[in-house]
Amino acid sequence: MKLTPMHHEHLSMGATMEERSGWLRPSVYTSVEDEMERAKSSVGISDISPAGKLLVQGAGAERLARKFLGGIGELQVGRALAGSRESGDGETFPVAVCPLAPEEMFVTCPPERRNSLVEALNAELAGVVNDNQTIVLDVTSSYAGINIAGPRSPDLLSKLTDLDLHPDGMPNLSSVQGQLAEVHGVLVRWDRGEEPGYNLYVAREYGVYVWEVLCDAGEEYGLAPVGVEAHRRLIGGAAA
Amino acid sequence: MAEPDPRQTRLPPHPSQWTDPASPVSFTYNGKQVSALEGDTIGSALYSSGARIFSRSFKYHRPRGLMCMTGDCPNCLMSVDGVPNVRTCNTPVQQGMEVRTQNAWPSVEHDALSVMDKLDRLMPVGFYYKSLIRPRISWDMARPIIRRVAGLGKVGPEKDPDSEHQHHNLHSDVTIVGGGPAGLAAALEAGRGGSRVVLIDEGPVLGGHLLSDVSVHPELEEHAGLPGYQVAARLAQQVQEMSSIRVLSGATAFGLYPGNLLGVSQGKCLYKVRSRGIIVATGCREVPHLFPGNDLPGVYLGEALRRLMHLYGVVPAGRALVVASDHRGYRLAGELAQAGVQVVGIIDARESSPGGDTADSIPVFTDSSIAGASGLKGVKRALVLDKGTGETRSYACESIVITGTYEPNTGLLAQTSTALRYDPELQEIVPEDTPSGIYVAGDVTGLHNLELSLIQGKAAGCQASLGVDRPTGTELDALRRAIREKEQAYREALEPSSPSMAPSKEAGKTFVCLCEDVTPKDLYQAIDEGFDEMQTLKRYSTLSMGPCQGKMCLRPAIELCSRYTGRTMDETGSTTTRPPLRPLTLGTLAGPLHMPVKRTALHERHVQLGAAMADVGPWKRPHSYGPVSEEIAAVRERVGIIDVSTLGKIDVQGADAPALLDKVYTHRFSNLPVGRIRYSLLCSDNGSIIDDGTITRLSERHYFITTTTANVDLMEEWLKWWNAGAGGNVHVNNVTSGYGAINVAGPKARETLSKLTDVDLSPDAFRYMRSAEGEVAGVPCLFLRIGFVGETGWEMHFSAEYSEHMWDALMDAGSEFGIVPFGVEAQRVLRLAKKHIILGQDTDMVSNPLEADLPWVVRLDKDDFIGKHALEAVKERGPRETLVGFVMEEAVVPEDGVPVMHLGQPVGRVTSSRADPTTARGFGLAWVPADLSQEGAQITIQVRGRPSPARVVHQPFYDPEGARLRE
Repeated sequence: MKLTPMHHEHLSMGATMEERSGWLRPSVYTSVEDEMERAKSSVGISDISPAGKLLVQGAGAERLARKFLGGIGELQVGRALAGSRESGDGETFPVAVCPLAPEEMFVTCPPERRNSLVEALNAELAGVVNDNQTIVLDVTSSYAGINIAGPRSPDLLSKLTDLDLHPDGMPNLSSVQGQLAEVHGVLVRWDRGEEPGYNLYVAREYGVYVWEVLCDAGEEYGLAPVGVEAHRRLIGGAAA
Repeated sequence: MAEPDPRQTRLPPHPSQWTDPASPVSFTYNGKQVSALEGDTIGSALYSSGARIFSRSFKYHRPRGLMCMTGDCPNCLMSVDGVPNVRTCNTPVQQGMEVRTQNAWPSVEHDALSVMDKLDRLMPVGFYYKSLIRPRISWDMARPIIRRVAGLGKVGPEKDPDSEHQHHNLHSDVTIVGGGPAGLAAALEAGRGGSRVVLIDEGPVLGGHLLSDVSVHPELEEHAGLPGYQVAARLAQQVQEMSSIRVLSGATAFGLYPGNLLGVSQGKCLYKVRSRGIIVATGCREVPHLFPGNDLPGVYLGEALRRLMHLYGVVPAGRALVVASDHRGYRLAGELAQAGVQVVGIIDARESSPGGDTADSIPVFTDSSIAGASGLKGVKRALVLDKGTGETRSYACESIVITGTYEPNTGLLAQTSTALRYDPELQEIVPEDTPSGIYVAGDVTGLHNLELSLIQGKAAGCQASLGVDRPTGTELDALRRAIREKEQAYREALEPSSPSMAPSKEAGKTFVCLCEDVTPKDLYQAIDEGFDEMQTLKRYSTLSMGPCQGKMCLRPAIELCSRYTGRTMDETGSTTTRPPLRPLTLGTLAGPLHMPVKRTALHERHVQLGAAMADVGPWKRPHSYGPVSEEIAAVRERVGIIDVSTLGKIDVQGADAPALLDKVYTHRFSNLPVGRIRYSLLCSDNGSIIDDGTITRLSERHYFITTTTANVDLMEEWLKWWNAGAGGNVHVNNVTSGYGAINVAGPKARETLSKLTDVDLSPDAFRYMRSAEGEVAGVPCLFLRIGFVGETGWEMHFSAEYSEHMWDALMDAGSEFGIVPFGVEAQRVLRLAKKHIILGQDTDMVSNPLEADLPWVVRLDKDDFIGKHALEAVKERGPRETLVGFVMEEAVVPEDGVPVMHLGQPVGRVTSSRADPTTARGFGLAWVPADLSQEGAQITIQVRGRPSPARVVHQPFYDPEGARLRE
């Protein structure tokens, strides 16, 4: 069984655990209704570490990303682009691309698509790009992923980072790298309808520390840890 | 102290007042119950209950009372709920507060230490620099007394019980400091077009000095017929209604740092506010006049009485004398008279009185100045000098009210490159040029006119928003024209008033600096001794170094210094203003402590096994799980496992990867066969060791590198740097976080692992320093057969999410062989027995591989690599000192770091040392001079201060042939 960096945090918070695509995940801490209510009225955090995370790196990175994104949007550094991809079995699944640097694309996908996406991209790399200068690296295990969403999420984050989180500074569908609670992180803004939301990625070994800092800083807002079930309903069924 | 019902000593309710007669609250003052009203500050409540002495001064223990009511002077500092040095004059009162006076014994009313006031001759300025030096014991004797007598409040040794300090980051287009009329006007103008605006104000209610202004302002078209406090309420209302403005009330902007970063404290919160533009509308404050007795309780700045009357409904009892130099003093005298205070007279330095503003019944003494105040614990009489006749008359009064001398609050501006100059017309030190992005408005410009302040605020708001939400500056040009006209009119209407009197050297006790009890006499003496620059004068006399940070004293001191030295105000200059402008608690600055902690994916397993966790840099690692000797024995006799996930891991791939590694490492890697591992070092250009580790060739153009735990970030940068320089096609990725790693070592390691994997681990199939990929317990792993601890073993790297699964599977599989987890300490002993070095422990910044006894790692026969030339030079000159093994001849264990002695002199040092479990003798590694480095050389090691013989050993202490490693 695969464990996320914050596994023992979930246990100590009394979460009921469940298995999903090989990962042991917190399905619910208090109740689905309570978690949804608090996340909607204040702020909720969810462990999204199982999401597949790939790094496409090198001269052909942009070409590769553009190809499988189907030409959506400009691949400017600082943006976050949502796309979808068809799997071998004919289903489509969501992917997101954040250009971290001109030749570095950070790609996320649902947990169960991780391996197949790595394989597919490697095949496309050999077939389409074939420049011997581009690589695909599976960095899923390198990052702890935390989704922070709800009306108070910008307030919570602004206690921990000096990045400007206002929509003027960081609009929906943008990404930025910076310090958060003295730790380097990649912050991606994915609003949930009208409500602000963020995906935060930090080095795996900082996962517990950052989770605890978020819980402490969010106490004054009534922060709720949100289990897989409530999280899924909040994002309208799409997988994290 | 009598305890009257506070409501009976108050003025009739008035809409300008903040106090609510219907909501009494109570608190304790030095243990006694005091009644107050909701809306009071501690200071106003104590004052209304009859208290007049609020504190005792720092050095002479002179009585001090309320003076400014704006939080600027040091007179009202008290301990509130255990927090020392709270400014009680502007701290709102709360039910049940515990307020205590400080630095007085037995009480502020009767302070035995006031005897200090008579001993001033013994303590001239700077006495601690030039007396109490000989005999040397004299300072030791005097110190505890001085510490007892001088000082402010006391901080308890216990932890702050509710230290819930928070830090917030704010970003805005425009930030305005000061919520007075100029600040409010600026906020409204800046916020109107949608700019993000932050408005910072010290008071609990927006409005600044308008809040205590009950006079009407017919000159304001928009607000004609309204008294000042209602104008404030109107503007504040509009600000509150504007959603683009965020107001921080009760907040102090204490520092303005580069990049337009403002430090703001609000209660237990610290805000870091970053803005495109900052408007400084911090207003001005009144400064005291210098005359003997100017520090007595009963001497007030005008604003203090305005606030007491109009915000809290309190008036001073008895008779008052008002010192005025413009219409504001006259108006205040009228307001006092109206409130029932008997005003003895108005002292006006001008030759004729303008009259007008005040009641006819108040006598006016023109061409006069205040020459002194007398009284034991408060003002009893005032001396007035008639400048025309030179006569001095004495008047009985209980209050002396000082008005008319203003100083702009330029503290924040002084922290920037703003030019501050003395304006002889205004007789104030005002900002001239502000750096781009910083604007000024209102009284801080030295122009004290409400109408002008509002226009200035509007103009600043408009200018700061340019480029954000409005394209052109036509509107701004009109505002600037209006400002020019009004300023000209203002300057023309200024009436020449002769400057405040500089006291002569002989005058009695006049205080320039209230915080540190510095008198003009002290300053003159310091100047005579050569400290005639404000910067040195400050340091020598401690002027402006107290809690008020020069707010009350700097301006009078500059003036004194300027006159005494015959230089202009600008030539005299000022001191350097640094943050914080107002004292802060350390807790505010520290905030919630964020100490990043790195935990491996096996952290919980170690904790569950009862490991003693040690801090290794930012990582938490198990030091040991039980007796270290048992862990060592298990590894040597059976099998042990250790979590080595903290090892730095770097993935290097690309066509030019072999060339890059040949360039940066001392060993050769282009010829390393796929599936092989090689240990190597990296050096800097001067040949000193930067890092070590193993390099595994996974495929022709793909390597897996391990680095020391602490150096992985440096190695990542180092490799990327040299790759970028060479323009090579190499991808360097730090994959430390992604992999869990466990080392399984010991004679039973093979049997343990074989239960979980199909990989052939037999000695012939999987030899030492080889790698393979395969599954362990269903998890894909990279096997590295290496032997840091000296036994047959495999270091396995796998995706970190499987860490607990792997650990449990290995513990399970090894249980029949007596598997034991071992910690960092056991590993340290085991590697030392093999003479494996730990970088940073056994080497330092200047160690090179040849002298560190690792010549086999350096391939001087290969093409250029970093450090080659330096190492060739070392080889040519021969080693000067060498890292060698040593064994003690006696059963003693030196500590890490103790010196190696020769002929009574230290010649080297022990870097690592542990006890041999069987002989109890110490062994380890030490740097020794080259001539003491041969096998068997006798050396002496200082063990706990005593020289002890030892012998140099070249072979590893354990398994010198490495047979066990290769089994």
